[in-house]
Amino acid sequence: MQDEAIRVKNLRKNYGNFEAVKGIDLSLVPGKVNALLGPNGAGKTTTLKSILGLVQYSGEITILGEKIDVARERISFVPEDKSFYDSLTPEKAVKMCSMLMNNFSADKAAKQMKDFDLPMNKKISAFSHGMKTSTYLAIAMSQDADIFIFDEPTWGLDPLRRDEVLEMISALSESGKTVLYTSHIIPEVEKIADVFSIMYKGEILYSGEMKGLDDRFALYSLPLKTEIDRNDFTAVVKEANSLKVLTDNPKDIARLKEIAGSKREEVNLESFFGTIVRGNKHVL
Amino acid sequence: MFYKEIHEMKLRVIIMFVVLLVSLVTTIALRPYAAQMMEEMTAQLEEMPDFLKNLMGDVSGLSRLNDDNYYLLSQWHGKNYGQFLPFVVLLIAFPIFAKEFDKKTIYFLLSRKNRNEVFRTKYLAGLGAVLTITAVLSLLGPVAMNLAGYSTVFADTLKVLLQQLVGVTFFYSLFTMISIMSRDQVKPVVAGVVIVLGLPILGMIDALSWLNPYPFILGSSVAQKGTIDWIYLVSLLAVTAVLTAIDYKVFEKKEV
Repeated sequence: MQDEAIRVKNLRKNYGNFEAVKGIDLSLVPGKVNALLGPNGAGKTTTLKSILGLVQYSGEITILGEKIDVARERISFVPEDKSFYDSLTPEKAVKMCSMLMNNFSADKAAKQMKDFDLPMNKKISAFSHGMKTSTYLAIAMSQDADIFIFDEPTWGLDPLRRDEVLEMISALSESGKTVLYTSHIIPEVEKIADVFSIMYKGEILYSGEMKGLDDRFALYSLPLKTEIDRNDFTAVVKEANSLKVLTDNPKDIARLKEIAGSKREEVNLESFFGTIVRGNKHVL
Repeated sequence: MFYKEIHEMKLRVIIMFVVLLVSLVTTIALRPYAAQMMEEMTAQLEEMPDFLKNLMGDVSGLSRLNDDNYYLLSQWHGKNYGQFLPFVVLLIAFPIFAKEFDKKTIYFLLSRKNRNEVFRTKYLAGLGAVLTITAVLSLLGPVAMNLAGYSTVFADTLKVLLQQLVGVTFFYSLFTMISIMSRDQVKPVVAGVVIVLGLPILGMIDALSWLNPYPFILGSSVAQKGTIDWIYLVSLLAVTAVLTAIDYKVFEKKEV
């Protein structure tokens, strides 16, 4: 198995004068759910498009050690806009995909569509947004790919279907597949991600494992007038009545603990993400 | 991938085929009246003032309409069928790429297939449909005339057909480029109509008459001299080859 399922080195992408991605490095751990988390406009979709060769970019990207044109058939992609050929019925869509892709299982797709309660003989154009998304997901998950890339896969799904889809994504990594998953919905990422990266304004602010986040980092709330050197910490955010300080350095943690009026807060993905993004400082 | 492309253009091809078939039947049904009408028109022309005769241009062909072969060349290939061929090409070509960009289905395709394969399959599927419609309806001309009891030969139709095939391939490569460059389906149609109508207008300027491919597609040289316009044919083929190469390059670099 490769050390990195996808390796991105110094990726840059401009749209005119706007720098959408600013020289990022990113590595995907094989067999894990790798989440790319960030607010809207962070550059997540542009990064995925670059990986898939859908846009021109500068930098180096390898997929399972190969260029995209060699590795393309080992990837299954669900884009942010889940538009499928809506003149088809799911039944015809399955037939078309069988002819289009060598690694596609028609039986698996038909079964998945039935599990999603999709009417097999109704045109996709007559489907609701959630049904269209379910159709796309059923097709994408019926590919025997090595890497699955999902861009906001649960957008528009009802809570029950959303949980079902998240379980399916988790099951992919349990069966040894690599998943790259983007979302701005933090609880979802927290639920399924093994590894995550936080992207903001075209930069990767943090990459690390989900497990043990609370053990590795400490988040302190300090009185507003406390004098600290921002550069000593992972992120510092000035709030209305306090300073939020995030760090993973044991010496700094001990120092923060001693400050009068300091209060340790729980580090979960939501507080971590908020502090890192609002602190907006590189930690790697 | 051919299955998908054929499925998507099936309805358009059938509709165009039926419409042109109706036009063919009408053309043949009007055959008995053509000679009579031409005789009447010739008589009227002789009585016209000189300035009106000049406006009408060369009307010597009118008297030849009594000839079944000339009737087929002028009224089917040169008029009812031939002049609609660029529109047939436009209707086939404009959505081939533009629809994928417009409907955002291009993500599905390009994330699973290499651009080279996508371009090759789409381009050839559309071109195959265009060439098939052109060839079938062109050959149906003399077949239908003979079935209706008129005496027509295939030799001239085959000459016109060769010119038509080259002509529609040129238009196809041109409309494909617009389809690739567009992100919606309206612009390629508007641009295509402007091109189809604009080229003959530009061709009215003597120095730019070569820009008007209509006389070539309508088989003017075959109808008038009985020969293929080889110089125009080879030139148009060369331009088409260049346009096709540009089509591929534009698609290869296109960001989605």
